[in-house]
Amino acid sequence: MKGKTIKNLASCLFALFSLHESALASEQLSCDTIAENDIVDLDLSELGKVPVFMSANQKATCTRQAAGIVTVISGQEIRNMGARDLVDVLQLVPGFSFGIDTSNVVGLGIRGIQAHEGKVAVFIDGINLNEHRFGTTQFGNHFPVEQIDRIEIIRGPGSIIHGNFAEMGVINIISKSAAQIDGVKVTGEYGRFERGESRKVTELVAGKKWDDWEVTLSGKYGLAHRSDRIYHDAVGQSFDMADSNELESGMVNLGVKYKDIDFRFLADDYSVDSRDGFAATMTEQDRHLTNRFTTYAANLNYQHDFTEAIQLDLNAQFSRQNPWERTRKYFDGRPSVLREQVFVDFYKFNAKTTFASDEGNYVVLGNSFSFDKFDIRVSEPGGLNAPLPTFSDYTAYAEASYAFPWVTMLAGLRFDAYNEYGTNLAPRFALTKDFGRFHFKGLYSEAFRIPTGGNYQKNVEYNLILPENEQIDQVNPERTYTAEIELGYELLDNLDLTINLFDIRSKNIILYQVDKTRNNADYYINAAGQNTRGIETGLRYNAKDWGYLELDYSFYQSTRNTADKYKIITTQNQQIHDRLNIGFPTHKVTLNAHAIITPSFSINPTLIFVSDRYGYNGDLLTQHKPAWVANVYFRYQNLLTKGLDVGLGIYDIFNERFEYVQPYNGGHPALPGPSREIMLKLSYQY
Amino acid sequence: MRFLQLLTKSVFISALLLSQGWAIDHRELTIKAAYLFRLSLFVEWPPSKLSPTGSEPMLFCVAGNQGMSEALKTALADKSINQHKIEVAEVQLRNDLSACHLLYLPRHIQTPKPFLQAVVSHPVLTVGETEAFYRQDGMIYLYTKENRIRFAINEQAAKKAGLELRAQLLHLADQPP
Repeated sequence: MKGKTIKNLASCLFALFSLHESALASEQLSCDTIAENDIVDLDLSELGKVPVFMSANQKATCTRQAAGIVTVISGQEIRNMGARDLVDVLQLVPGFSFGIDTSNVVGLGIRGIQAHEGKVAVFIDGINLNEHRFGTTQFGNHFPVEQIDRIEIIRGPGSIIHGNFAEMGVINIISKSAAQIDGVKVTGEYGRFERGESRKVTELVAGKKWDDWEVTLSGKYGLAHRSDRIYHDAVGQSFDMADSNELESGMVNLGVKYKDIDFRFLADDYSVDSRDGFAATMTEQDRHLTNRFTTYAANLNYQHDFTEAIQLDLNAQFSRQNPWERTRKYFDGRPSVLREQVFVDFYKFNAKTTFASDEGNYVVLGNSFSFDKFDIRVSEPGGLNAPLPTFSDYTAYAEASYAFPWVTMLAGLRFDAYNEYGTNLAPRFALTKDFGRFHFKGLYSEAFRIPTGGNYQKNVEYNLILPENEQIDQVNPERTYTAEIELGYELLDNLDLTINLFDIRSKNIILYQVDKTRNNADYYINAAGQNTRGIETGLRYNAKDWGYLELDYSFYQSTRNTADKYKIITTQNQQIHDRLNIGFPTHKVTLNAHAIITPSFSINPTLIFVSDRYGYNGDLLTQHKPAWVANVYFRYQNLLTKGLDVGLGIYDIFNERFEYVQPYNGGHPALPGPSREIMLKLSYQY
Repeated sequence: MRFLQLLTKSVFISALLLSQGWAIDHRELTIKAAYLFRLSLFVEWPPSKLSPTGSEPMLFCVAGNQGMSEALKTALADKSINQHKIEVAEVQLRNDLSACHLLYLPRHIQTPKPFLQAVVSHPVLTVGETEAFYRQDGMIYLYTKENRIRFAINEQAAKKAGLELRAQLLHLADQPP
C-alpha cells in the first residue's frame, strides 16, 4: 500500500512538473526542406538552423515529410536523460519492447512481434551491426552513447533501401562529425545496484577537422551486470545475478574523411556471460557460459555531387564476424571448452544515385551485390562440420517521390535475386501531405526477411539425426505487409501531437523450434503467419529555453497468430488471450521531461509504464504485473571549469525490478532486469 | 506575367553572377538576405538617421557586386522595417556610403578597411563576412559553421557609431570562431 502511495505521489509530481516545464521537440536534425521562398520569413534563431548546402540525399529526407513513421532522438536528449545504454533510449520509443532470447542475451520486439532475430536492422555510421548467422542484435551495455549525434529510427519496414533485417524496423545510429567534436572528450561512469556493482564504463570521443580532412575516433570499454537479483529457473534452482551474468563490451569506431571520400572502421567485441541457460533450466552448478559476438567491419564511401540536384554514392563494405561463439567456463579453474565458433565474412558493393529538386522531389536508383561466406571452425558434438554454401544477393531498387499540389506521392520497388532463395520483389507506396499545422502520411510497404546461414546450418544439422523420410526442407523467406497512417497536428506553436495507426501481416514467418524428443535439437520452420494492429501517439512540447516534454502511448493487439510459440496457452492447452502475444504488453506509456533549471544545471525525469505481460516458466504460463519504471538524471555542465560535466542518475526509483520476459515459448523464465541503481558520470571535454 | 518577370529576373541575375566569375549559391544568398532583414529589426538608428514616425526608405548598400545586390533586391522585395521600405543598392568606395543605413561587405571584399573607414563616424550598421572585417571593428560578422550561417556581434563598434542593439539580438549572437 505504501509503495503504491509513493508511486501515485511521484506520478503526480511528474505531472505537475510537466505542467511547469516545457519540452523541446526533437530537432529535425536529418533534413530541412524549407523552400527558399519561406527562408526570408524565418526568425533569427530559426535561420541559424537552416543548412546552407543541401545534398540531394538531404533534400530527399525529412522527418515530418519522410515516407515512414520516423523517430529521431538527438545525442543531446540521450545525454540529458543519462541513458546508461541503448536500452534506456529505445525503451522510450513507442512500440518497442525488450525481452530475453536465451542465455542472458536480450533482444528487441516491435509492435507485438519478436524482432530480435533478423527483423530489425541496426546500423552505426552505415555499418550493419546485426550478426549474420541469425540476424540478431544484442542489447545491454553494448552500444556507446557519448559519440552519438542522433539516432534515426524507422518504426516500420525499411526493406526497400536497407534490405534484409529491416523487415520490422531500422535503427540508424549516427556519430558526431569531427567538426562537432573538435577536441577530445573522456567519460567515466560508475553505478551500483542495491546489491553490488552495476557498471563501470569508460568512453573516449575525439575528432578534428583540418581543411579537407576530418578524423574521428571513439572508443568504449564497459563491464556491467544485467541484474543484482536472484534468478530462479523452472525446476527450482537459482543463482545470484549480482555475481554473474556479466556483460562486457569494447568498441572502437574510427572515421576518416577526405573531401568526398569517407572511410570507417568499426571493431565490436561483446561478451555475454550467463548461468540462466538456454531454456527452462540453468547451467549446471559448476559452470557458466559465455556467448561472444565480435565484428570487425570497414566501410568505404565515395559521394560525389555532380550538381546540387544529383548525387552519386559508391560504397564498399566488408565485415568479419564471429557471433555466438560459445565457451563453457568452470568455476573450479578447469580449462574452458570452446563449444561453437563460426566466422562469417560479409562483402557488399553498392551504387546509388539520387536526383533531387529543391522542393524535395527525388528519384533514387540503386543496385548492390553482397555475399556471406561461412566458416564453421568448431561445432557442437553432432553438429555440422561441412562447409555451408556462400549466400549471395543481387539487388536493384528504385524509389521516386513527387510533390503534387494536393499530395506528395512516393513509390518504390526493390528486386532481390538470391542464389539460395530465388527472387523477391518488395514494393512501397506512400502519400504524404504537410498542410502547415496538420500533416498526414499513408504508407504501404512489403518487406521481407531472408533466412540466414545460421537458419540453414541448424536445419542441415537437424536432418543429420532424422531418418530420410522425415527430413525437413530449408525455410523460405518471410514476408510482411504493413499499412500505416500518421496524422500530426501542431496544437500550439511549441506543441505537436502525432497519431499512428498500423496493421502488420506476416506470412511464412521463420520460426525457431526445439525437438524435445531428440535431445532438444533445434531447427527452423515456416509458420503460416502472425498479424498485429495498433496505435501509437506522441505529444511533444518544446519550450526552448525551459526544456521539453515528450509523452508517448502505444497499444497493439494480435489479430492472427498461427504459431503456438507466440500464443498465451495454459498447461491445459487453452489459449486464454487471443489478442495478446507472449512477452508483450498491450499498453505502454512513456514520459521524458527535461527541465533547464539554470544554463548549467538540468533535471531529466523519465517514466515508463507497461501493462501486464505473459511469459513461460518451463511449461507453466506466468503473468507479470504492470510495471512503472521511473528514472531521474541530474546534470551539471561546466562544473568548476569549462568542459567538465557531472551527472547523477537514479534508476528504477520505485524499485519495480523490471523483468525481461521471453517473447516466445522457449521455456525460459523471465530474466530479472536491473533493480534500483545509482550512477555517477563524469566527463571532460577539451 | 508575374512569373515571367520572376523568370526574367532570375535569368538576368544568374547571368550577372556568372559573369562576375563567382559562383554564388542562391540558397546561401537567400539565407544571408534573411539575416540582413532580421538583424535590422533589432537595431535602433538615431532619429536623425531614421525617423521613428517617418516612412522614408531604408537603404541597404551592398559593396562591390551588382549581381549580389540584384539578388538581394529580389529576396527583400516588398520587405519593410517599421514602415520604412527596404531599398537595395550596389555601392563602390567612391559613393557616399554615409547615406546607407546598412552596409553589407560580402566575402569577396577582402580589404574591408576602406569601407569601414568611410562610415566610421556615421550610424551605419556594418555587416561583413571576413575575419578581417570583424577584427577591424565591423559590427556584425556572418560566418559559416557546420553548414549553417551564424553571426557574432561587436557591440562596442555599434555603440560608437550611435546604434542601439536590442538585448534579444545580443542574446542570440554566437561567439566568433
